[in-house]
Amino acid sequence: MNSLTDITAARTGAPNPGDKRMSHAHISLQNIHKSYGEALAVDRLDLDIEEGKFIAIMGPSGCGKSTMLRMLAGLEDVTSGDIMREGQRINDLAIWERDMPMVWQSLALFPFLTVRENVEFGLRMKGVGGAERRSRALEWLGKLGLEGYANRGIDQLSGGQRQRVALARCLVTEPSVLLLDEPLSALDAHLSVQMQGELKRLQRELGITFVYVTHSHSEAFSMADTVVIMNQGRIEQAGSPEDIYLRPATPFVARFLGGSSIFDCKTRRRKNGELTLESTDGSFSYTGPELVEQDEGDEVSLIVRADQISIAPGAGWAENEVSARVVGEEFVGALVNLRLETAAGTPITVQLQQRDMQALDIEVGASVTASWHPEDGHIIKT
Amino acid sequence: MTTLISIRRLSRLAYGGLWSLPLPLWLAGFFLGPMILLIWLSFWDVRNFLLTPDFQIENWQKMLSADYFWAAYLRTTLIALSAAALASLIALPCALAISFFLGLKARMVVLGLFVVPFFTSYLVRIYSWQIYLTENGIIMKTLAAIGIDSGSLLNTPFALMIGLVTLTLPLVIVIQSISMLSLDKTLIDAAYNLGCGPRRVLFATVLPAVRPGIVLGALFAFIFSFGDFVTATYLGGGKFTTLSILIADTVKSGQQWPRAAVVALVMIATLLISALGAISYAYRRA
Repeated sequence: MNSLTDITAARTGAPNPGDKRMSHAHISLQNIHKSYGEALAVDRLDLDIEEGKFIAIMGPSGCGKSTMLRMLAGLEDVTSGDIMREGQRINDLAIWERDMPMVWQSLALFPFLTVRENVEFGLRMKGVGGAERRSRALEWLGKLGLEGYANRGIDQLSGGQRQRVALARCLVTEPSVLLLDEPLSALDAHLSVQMQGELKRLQRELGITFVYVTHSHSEAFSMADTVVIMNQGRIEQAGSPEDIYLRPATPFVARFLGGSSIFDCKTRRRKNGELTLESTDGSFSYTGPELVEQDEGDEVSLIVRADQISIAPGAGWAENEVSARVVGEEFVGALVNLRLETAAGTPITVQLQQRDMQALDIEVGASVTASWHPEDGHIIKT
Repeated sequence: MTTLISIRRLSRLAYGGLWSLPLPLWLAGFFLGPMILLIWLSFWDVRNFLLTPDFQIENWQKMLSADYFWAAYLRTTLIALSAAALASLIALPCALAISFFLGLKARMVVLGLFVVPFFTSYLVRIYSWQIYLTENGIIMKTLAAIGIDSGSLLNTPFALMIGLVTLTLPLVIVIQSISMLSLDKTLIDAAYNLGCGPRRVLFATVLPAVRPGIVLGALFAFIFSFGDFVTATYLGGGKFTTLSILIADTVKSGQQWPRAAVVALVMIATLLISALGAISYAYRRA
């Protein structure tokens, strides 16, 4: 859980403001509230962003992730709460005074300027002289593989090239924070993966903070040091990608990331210390890491990842076995995601190797038994 | 079967053909035809006040070597350029206000108001300006009341500008507003985000981004002013001989249609070149 030292996130409720003010994080959002009239966009949100980290903020549309980024940039006012940078409150700093360049979803390159002039824009605004401006712009165009494009117009570039110009335009002023608002969403899958690698490399080499808003799991998990998952204006979970993948903090996170089966259960403690989880799909044994934290009679969600479940043909009623019907299959390269549904209607996802799937000879509509080891699975109190 | 298919194909061709027919017909009948006629006419002769088909370049020689023609040409160009610049300058703050400060409803109302002048005849509007500008007119009397002797405002360059701006301003405002309204507002946010304060954003971002609209607005104002006859006649009193007035005079005096055709052709060529130049400047990359 050491990743949580990078980032402290209070999921619900107002934190103690007294000790929050002491935070020495690079950027710190403290009890941020944002509402549009009646509608709540961001709800008492706390987030510390460490210097030089790549932080990805993700969530379903309308979760407040873009609003949060826009508040950081100064494009939106904060209804209440403080945005701190190096211990200074920056709520009242105008957009043009914040020095947090943004890579826009639409890129927002200036069509009336050449590639070089676009990159020079920030320097020009800072009063950097013509010759230096030019050489710094050309240097950054070179770093991003755009030599020879300096005098082109924006409309003469491909999507990937425009992306690089947008990056160069932000990075040329050597900011300590870069904001990115779904910057890769306009690119095709292949180019997007290539840019992910480049973005991560850039961030590591420059050592500056990237705050990256995305709805894409693959972008967030492949690049970020810290992933923040938001829902309805609040942070559901913040942590390392591995932490979030292995230990989703809420059923929402598990559902949002997908690939897990979720059983609503009630706990019952057995004499030997094991835990029995009673659900509408039967009772399950649990000996996993969260064993000791549970009390008798707690309402919990048992989350079992798709790769932890194995299946066999036919029905069965032993412990940690659920009989289910196959309702669908998706082929993802060498893997198959099998979608099952229990008699009680609980969806189950199982991940199999293509060849195992063939060996089992299962078709949609077949009855199968899904089972998992009592050590596997992850329990969340609900 | 084959006949069926060919009939269907034929009818599809006929359908497309019928719809695309009016444009070439119109262009041939009302543009290309008259244009050829005009060019041909410029080589005709006038004998005993009678137009006579001929092919002689005397009309071109006469007009292009006449000082009064080039004086009128220069005057017309200067007047039209001034009117275009004036209308564009006045329109700019209006269009900015309409596009960036007015709400959706107010914007529709204001833009609607700028269309209203087109409901009344341009000639009527120019006549009413005469009442204001004439000797002992409302403006002169008001100025006299506070001790300023303005003299007659009619037949002055000021009156010319009033008339031409009356003609062109609404159109220029509408063109500029449309181009500002279609401006991607994210560009302005991006400029702010890169440290461009509100005082610089107009010249560094907004105006360059809407340059096509500003240039096209000015081009329309120039075209209308360049060929205008009404203002030059009724507010300029014929004191400022523009090319339009020159055409009218040439036709009236001695039936010199061929020489008028020469003037008209020079005007068309001028407008064509200015339009091409303006458009290529408007869409030129930085």
